[in-house]
Amino acid sequence: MDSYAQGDIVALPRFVYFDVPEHKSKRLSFVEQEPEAIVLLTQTCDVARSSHERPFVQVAPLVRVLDADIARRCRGGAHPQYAWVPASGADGFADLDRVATITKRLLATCNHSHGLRDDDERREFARAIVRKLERFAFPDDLRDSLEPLRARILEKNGKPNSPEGALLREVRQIRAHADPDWATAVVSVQLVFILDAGALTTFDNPPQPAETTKSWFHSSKRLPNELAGRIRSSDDAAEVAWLWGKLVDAWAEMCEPCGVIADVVGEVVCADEYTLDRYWAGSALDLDYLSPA
Amino acid sequence: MTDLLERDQSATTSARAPSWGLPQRVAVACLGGLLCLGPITETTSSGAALKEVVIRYSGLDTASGGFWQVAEKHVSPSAETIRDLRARSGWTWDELAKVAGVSRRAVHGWANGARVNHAHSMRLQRLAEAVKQYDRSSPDETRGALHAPTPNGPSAFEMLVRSARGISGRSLTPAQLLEAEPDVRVAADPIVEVGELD
Repeated sequence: MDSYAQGDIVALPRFVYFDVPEHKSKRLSFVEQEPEAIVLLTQTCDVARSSHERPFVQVAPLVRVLDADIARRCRGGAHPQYAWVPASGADGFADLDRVATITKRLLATCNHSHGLRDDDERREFARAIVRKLERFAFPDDLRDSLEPLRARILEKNGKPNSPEGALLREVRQIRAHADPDWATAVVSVQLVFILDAGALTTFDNPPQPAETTKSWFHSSKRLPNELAGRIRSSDDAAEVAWLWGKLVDAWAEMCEPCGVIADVVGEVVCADEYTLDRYWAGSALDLDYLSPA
Repeated sequence: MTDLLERDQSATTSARAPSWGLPQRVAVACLGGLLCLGPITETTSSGAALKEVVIRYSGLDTASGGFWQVAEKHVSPSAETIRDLRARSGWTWDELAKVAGVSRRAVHGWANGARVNHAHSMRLQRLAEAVKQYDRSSPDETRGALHAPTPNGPSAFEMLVRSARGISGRSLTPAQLLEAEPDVRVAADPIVEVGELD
């Protein structure tokens, strides 16, 4: 099986049938449910291993997302259910909600072609599978608490021309930390907004903005779009770092205490400042997962 | 702190605290992910006295029903508190970030007045109390005491850093990874018999 790899597009084998839901929800209506092929999900090394030791592989149907705009959003990761298979076209995705197990013996009877063309695509595809299964089961109260922020991000994310939208595009990931932990009756949440390494200047001491900016900030309660505008118009590194702290705090302040969630505060870090220790202790927020059912 | 020290000192002769209040040994307990530091004597190594140390420095009040009953009593630390803790301890911003369990940028933010959540607020308050245990005549000397190895090994600073680590996430250790089966690529799969299914 050496010629097979994760992400391969495999002709739909005989004996494999993917049932189609009788009633499509609005969410499912933008996808052609009848699969034209299957996509190999099993990790490449496991595919290559002896069929005596590892006789099974996992596959998902290859489906077409009919709406070009939704397909674009799916390619960008808006729906973790769909993992893009680039060689199948801009609208071809592995439907990770409909994973099936087949034998390598059956797989070997089918024609196949590589769905992923380079290491970047292979990494992205593997990441999509991990993301689908790895997402942390946050308490429902967190979803409710974060809803205003989620709505804000979704609204602004598609508007790169707005200052807030432009800055949101610089956020690589939002990770949530719970103190003491998610299972306790009262949880303090730290939302860590991670920017690219080096995106903000590092200072030995707390950075201070110009007095005019301080006065402006303290003259009234500043909203995220105002802070974002100020960041975009500033060319002072200390001021930008200071304002980013205020911006993530303003975003976090949109989250209301709810149920077990006692409070939510924000923190901004660059990727090279976020330690592995903290990575292990936190969980990535997946906005799609947090959306109401 | 004073009453605890006084009681400990009166209860033992073998581990009397020096006149400047620095305990000769340090009790360490890691409960709820928060390290607790306190002077230890023969009497505090077990029983009610140790419990008192734990409650004092961790905020974990098991008798009254848990962590947050104590947490509610905390006062949110101001930028002044952060700066005072740093000045008193002699810690750099990086070191303060490590014992607080956040990035240096976050501690800078707190010093600039950013909001601090309840858990971090309480931790900072407890850190301030722990640092008082090591208070010397200058921040440099205090820092030196905090970083000096204890008879049991790691310094108070190292133990504080360890306690700041998250406890909910752990990756596979190298040992666990080594116990995993090695990936074996098989050159020729023996069961590929296309005609067999027909």
